Amino acid sequence: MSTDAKQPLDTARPVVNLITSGETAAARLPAICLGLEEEGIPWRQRSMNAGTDLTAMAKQAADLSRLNVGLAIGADTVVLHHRDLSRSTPLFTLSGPALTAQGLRRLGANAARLVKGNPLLFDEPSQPTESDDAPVFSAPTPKRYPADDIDPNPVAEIVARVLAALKGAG
Amino acid sequence: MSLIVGVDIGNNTTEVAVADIRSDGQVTVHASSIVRTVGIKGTLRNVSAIIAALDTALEKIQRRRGDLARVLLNQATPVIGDVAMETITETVITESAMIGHNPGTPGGLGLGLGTTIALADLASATPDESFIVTVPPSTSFLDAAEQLNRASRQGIQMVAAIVGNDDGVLIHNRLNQPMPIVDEVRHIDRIPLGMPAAVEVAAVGRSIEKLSNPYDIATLFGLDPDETRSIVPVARALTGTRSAVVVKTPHGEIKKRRIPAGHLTLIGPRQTVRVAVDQGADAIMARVAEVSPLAEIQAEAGTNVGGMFETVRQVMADLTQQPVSEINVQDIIAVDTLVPQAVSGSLAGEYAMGSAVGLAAMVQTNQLPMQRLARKLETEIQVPVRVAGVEAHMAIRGALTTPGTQAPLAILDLGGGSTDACLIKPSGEIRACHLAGAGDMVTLLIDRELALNDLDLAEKIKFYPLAKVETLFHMRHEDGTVQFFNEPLDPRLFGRVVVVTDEGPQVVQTTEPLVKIAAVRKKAKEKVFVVNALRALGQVAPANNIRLIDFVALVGGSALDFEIPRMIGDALAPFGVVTGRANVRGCEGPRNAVATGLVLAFAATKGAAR
Repeated sequence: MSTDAKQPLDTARPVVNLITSGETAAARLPAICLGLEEEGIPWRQRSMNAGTDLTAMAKQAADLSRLNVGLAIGADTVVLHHRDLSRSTPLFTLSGPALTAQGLRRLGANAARLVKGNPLLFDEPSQPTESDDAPVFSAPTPKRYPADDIDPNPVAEIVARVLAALKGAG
Repeated sequence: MSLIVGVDIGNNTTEVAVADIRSDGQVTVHASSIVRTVGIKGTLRNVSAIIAALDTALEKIQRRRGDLARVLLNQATPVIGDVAMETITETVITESAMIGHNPGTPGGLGLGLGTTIALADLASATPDESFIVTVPPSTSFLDAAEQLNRASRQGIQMVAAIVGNDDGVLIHNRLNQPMPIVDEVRHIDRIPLGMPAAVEVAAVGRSIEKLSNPYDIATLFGLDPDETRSIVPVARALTGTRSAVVVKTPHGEIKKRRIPAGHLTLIGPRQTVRVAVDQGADAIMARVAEVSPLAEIQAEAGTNVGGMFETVRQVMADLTQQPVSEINVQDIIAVDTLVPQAVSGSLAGEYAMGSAVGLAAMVQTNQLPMQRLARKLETEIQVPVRVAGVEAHMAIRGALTTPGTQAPLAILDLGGGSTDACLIKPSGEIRACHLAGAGDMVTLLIDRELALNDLDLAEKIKFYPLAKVETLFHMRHEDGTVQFFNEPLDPRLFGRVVVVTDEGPQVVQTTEPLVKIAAVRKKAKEKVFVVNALRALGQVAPANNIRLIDFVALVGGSALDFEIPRMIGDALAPFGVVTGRANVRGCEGPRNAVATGLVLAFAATKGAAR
């Protein structure tokens, strides 16, 4: 295959360009695509044995993407690049222990969020978009009335289970 | 010629003015400086800040402390304030009955009405019923989609799904039959099974229509009028979200409850009135106006307000070395607000807007221990130190150096803990007043209304404009202007609302859009600063009529705020008053009024004595 990446990459449709290099790399692809799919952004994948410089490949993918975002997926590194960034400074580089299914899916989601202009996800509990909305909405109501402290949920759960059981039996 | 220094110790900043006074009383101010106050004003801890400010100013004109003939301290206004908030309504949902949240990417579209069932129980389901399927986080989206498709082939009717993971779109894309899917529901195990439920997902850019309307909920579930009344808090909490779930539980109870928030006792010269805090700000302020002038305010012990009153009184007692029993709260301001509150029994971090009353209280005593501070400073710098002049009088004297002003001039000092106003009449007569509620209260309102739980961040939101980071290289400021950067911004800022501080942009940790945050900020400033500006000017104005004041000058730190001067200008415009930021000595802006006033007052007495 040629090292000229211009030919196989999609410049016609608005997509995030993904380049995989090698078979191990292709195995990482599905997790990344899930992230893109959940966020609703289209992508196009091409395999290429363009050498070892994944950052350069990612940059090229981004440059040729009409959405300005590209990823290069290698055997042990994944690089996310943006057309506006300089070649040597990709936005994210994942390697080694960071290459979990969850980490790759998050990278895919971030590629999509970069296109959409939505806040990116980070592997930290302090990021409310990442985990859940609990830290955002936990209003500090002072607990001074003991009756309020009883959590009604266990009761609710028991009632619900009993009812479900009765219904099942009946 | 003698070199003298005026020192103004404020709650937040310590300011000095260094001036030469000629023997004929002519004053030339050579240098000024400003540093952050250390410790509560009037305490011995202030000394280090005074010395720092002094040295900074002297360095500018290359003089030494030994050159000083005298240091003048202001008789700082012995006023301190504190703020608290009382929640007065609360939405209590016994039994999990609703989920209303905004997952970024729900799946499908539309409304589904059916009976809740666990994914695992689908195999044994009967085909004569409609189901809403719950998918636990342990099930992968592939498994979930496959099981749903299989059940669909077996003729089981499924109208919607509730999913634990952020898999809504992934599952939906793999279904043979589309259905609305709400995802990211954290406590999926708490959803009661076998109960009638409804799921609604709105189109992109829309919010739900049915489940936010009590009558639609009543139609869906066949509710009677009493039940419809009880569902109102749920409908209100779901308003504006893109997706929602409502489960009808047989014993479910949802109610909006009023929390007893205690009483305030307002004591005036003619009458004593008790008012319940949970009646809201309007009721409280109406009673305050009725009883005014207030002599003392007492709060019920064991409540939030009671605790706040105790703190303020204790601090003032420690400061003035008077017994707590002799310290009285003399003014309050109450503000109604809506705060998001976690719903007890939540499934996905739902919240409902609860009413709350914000209260600021203010304590004033006769004198702060300034003499003690003066003696300490004198031994430290080996220059005679004198306490000279009441703060308000000095401030107005300094403010009158603003070009284009003349008596009757009023100054407004919107501080952190209190709002102070002072008026000088053409005769030279001076009236001053101090009111509760200022910057700290605005910070508290911003913090609570946006549920930030971060007072430092709220303080920054109060003080700096907002911006939205739109790409890695540019942000759009709240006024619409775009700022470009040569280096890429931190990816953590991407797509987020930030406060543009002097140290660079800082993320506002909330999902609220920029316009909402800006609206909360402006509203909080209006509720406190504008209301208090009118209240304070009304108290000092001749015949309590603001129209009789010709000039109003804003002094102090908050006069430098990017929107407060305009807000107050707008509020005072109908009264035909010239309103603006002071420009002390034509060069200092709203700063240094008191320090300048001290020097001028000293020169005047010297000139008169000659």
